[in-house]
Amino acid sequence: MEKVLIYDQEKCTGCRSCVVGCSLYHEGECSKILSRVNIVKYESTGECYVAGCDLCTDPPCAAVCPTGACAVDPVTGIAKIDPDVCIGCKECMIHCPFGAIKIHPVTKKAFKCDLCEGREEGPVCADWCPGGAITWTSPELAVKAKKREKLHERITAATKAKEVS
Amino acid sequence: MYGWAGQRLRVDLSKGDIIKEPLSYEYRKKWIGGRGFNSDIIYNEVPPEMSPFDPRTRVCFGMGPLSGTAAPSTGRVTVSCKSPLTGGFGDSNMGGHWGAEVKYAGYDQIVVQGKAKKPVYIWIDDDKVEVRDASHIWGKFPRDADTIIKEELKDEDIHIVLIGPAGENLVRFACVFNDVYRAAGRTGTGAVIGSKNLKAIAVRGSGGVKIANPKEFFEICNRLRQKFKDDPMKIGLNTYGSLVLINFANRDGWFPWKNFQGGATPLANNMSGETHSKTVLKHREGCFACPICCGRFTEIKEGRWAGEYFGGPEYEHAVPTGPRVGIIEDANDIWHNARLTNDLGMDGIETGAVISTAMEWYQRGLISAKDTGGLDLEWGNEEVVDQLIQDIAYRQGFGDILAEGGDRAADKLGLGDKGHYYTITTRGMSLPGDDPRGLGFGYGLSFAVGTRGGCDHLRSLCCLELSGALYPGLNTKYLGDERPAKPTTTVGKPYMVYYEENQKAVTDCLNVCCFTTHWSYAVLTQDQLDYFNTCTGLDMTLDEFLEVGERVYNLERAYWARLMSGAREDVVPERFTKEPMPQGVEYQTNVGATLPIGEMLPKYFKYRDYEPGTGFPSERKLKQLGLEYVADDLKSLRKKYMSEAEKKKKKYYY
Repeated sequence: MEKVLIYDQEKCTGCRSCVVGCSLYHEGECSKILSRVNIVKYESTGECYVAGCDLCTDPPCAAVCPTGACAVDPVTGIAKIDPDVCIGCKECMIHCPFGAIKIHPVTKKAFKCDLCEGREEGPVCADWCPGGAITWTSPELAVKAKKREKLHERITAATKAKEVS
Repeated sequence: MYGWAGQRLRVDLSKGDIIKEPLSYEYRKKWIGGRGFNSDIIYNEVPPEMSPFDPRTRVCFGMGPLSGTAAPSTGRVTVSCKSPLTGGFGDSNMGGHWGAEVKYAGYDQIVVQGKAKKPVYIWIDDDKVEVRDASHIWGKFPRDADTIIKEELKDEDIHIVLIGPAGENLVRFACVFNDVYRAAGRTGTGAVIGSKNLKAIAVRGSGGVKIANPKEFFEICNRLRQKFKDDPMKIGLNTYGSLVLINFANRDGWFPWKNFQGGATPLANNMSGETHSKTVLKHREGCFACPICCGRFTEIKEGRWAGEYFGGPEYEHAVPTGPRVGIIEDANDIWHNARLTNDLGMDGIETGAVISTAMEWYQRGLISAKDTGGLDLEWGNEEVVDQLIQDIAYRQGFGDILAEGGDRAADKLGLGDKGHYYTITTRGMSLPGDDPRGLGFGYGLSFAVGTRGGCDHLRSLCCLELSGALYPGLNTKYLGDERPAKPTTTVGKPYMVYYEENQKAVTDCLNVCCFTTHWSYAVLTQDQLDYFNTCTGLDMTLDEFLEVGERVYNLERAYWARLMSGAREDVVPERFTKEPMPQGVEYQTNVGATLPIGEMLPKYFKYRDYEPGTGFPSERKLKQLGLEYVADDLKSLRKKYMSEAEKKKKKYYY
């Protein structure tokens, strides 16, 4: 079954384990700006938003790329940027609805998530996430799990109501 | 350069100077970072006789070579100064994301000295550093000041260190925060920052930390993070926060009931992590690169405090202004008090400790409503606690006296030895909410000898004692003996404390979190050495690594020695040695226990190689650690201490 990255914003603790893991895995350096996944957070209320590639079926980043550097990879099915062809115009960065594409501070070319191509355990961000905010799973399984959760909620509520009465 | 950024930022607020000093290879190897760098600065640049509020005094923010990397929990910052509470060496440690951001901006340490003419804050934007006006945020709660600064600098993603009103008002136990709720609580660092007219340090860092051997470093970090996934300690802390400790504390009798008059109470579950997560937990929160994420956000839903929200609380933050002052019935009162100490910028532990001490003075008839300005200091009186927290922060009425700390307040009120009996302090600082008669005798020993005063559950943080039962075999691995795993025994404890103190000192030098050390099986000391070596490219051995911790620890001890504080001050509050633990609940495990501190101290001194009479680090040890100049400093003081010790009747409080 094909797997995707699922982001559950409610569960994100804002620890940035994903950010620093991604940067280390891809660039050999620990940094926020070199990471393919990012977190923004309101420190006074603790609310977070984790911004990573949502693996669109019709990715706007590929659609707007003027050179064809950003195109859907026929093997993985996700948008991939070829740095040799990229001219650094930032169109993809602007058009990504999730803020998941950045410009490399040194090469000035666009870069994005590649699902840690070839890593057996799946993408580092999901593997290292301590709170289950990023998961590496098939969309079918994720949807099923969601339904189970709803069912569980209903059963708990019913049990509680019974106890009260 | 790998790991380290390689430079120290020094800001002189009197002169307006901004200086960047390179840190040499030898220096970095000798002190590693964080607490090591800070302790070195405090020892060399803040003379022992200097007032903690003198403009020339220093306040240091130290990061380590691992800060900002992918190793577990690398966001911590050590804040050090000469403590206004104890008058001695002071430091405190906080989580959050600020430490990582400073590393990304290119600094290993920030030292602030001098005093600004008017309120200011420091803005560090990578290599651009400026001192800006802070008149408009002076007096504001950290959460509001944080918002205003972010609006002003037009960046929501920067990270800010802040003090609250208590720091501005020089409350001797004011604390400093980063990311609004992550506090370096102890020893009054916030007051020293306030005395410099400094409100905040905002940082934006767009660089990174270079790794010497990235592939191997990644593999180590990955292995450690996999281990955390099903670690019982991680699951407990992640699910319930550090409040998970409440029910254990109550069962084993180390719950600080009414200023340690008891160690357990039947209603403890009202404020347990289990109850908290069912009733008021808003969501979970994590410090930088943490595999545990024990942070909480709390929102009070019912009662008179409904609608209040804040980051926290932690176990140590919730118990002092809760059970320690006799509040347990309505947990919302406890959450509210924790929220209040946070917003006002005070150390929750010390605030609860001084209020509970005053309550006991009141109970014993040492003070009356005449002294308290009419406040009825009955145990569990929430109105009075709420009022006193505010009065302390703004230094009003009776609160002004308590803002000086327990021992100073006892002297100001003229309560004599009787008054001091009920201040549960060593070296002028209150113990946290852990009764050593139950938590463990190792902790008790650590309270007596800790190099930042009585706090010190964190100087040693006897992981081996605390989780001995949860992880069988852990003690054997470290100490070659399983018996020290039992908290209420003295067997093996002197060596355990000696080992853990050195281990935690080097952990603080790396500035990683104590929770991600050998508290569980997940990160053993050898793992820490491995990620340190692969990150920095150094080739340290385990002995050299732990020796750095021992060096730092002895330097701090020597700072106290220069203040004429040594063996005579290595005591625990008499309550723990004289009063057998009463029974609070049926299932309590430590009824009748007292702390046999006398059995452990001499052995501990031997491991440390302290001089038996003075308790100063021996010349031999100091030289072995490469601290010849410290040995010279102490030479003339050894005799002086002995002759003064005989003359002096009163013990050294602050």
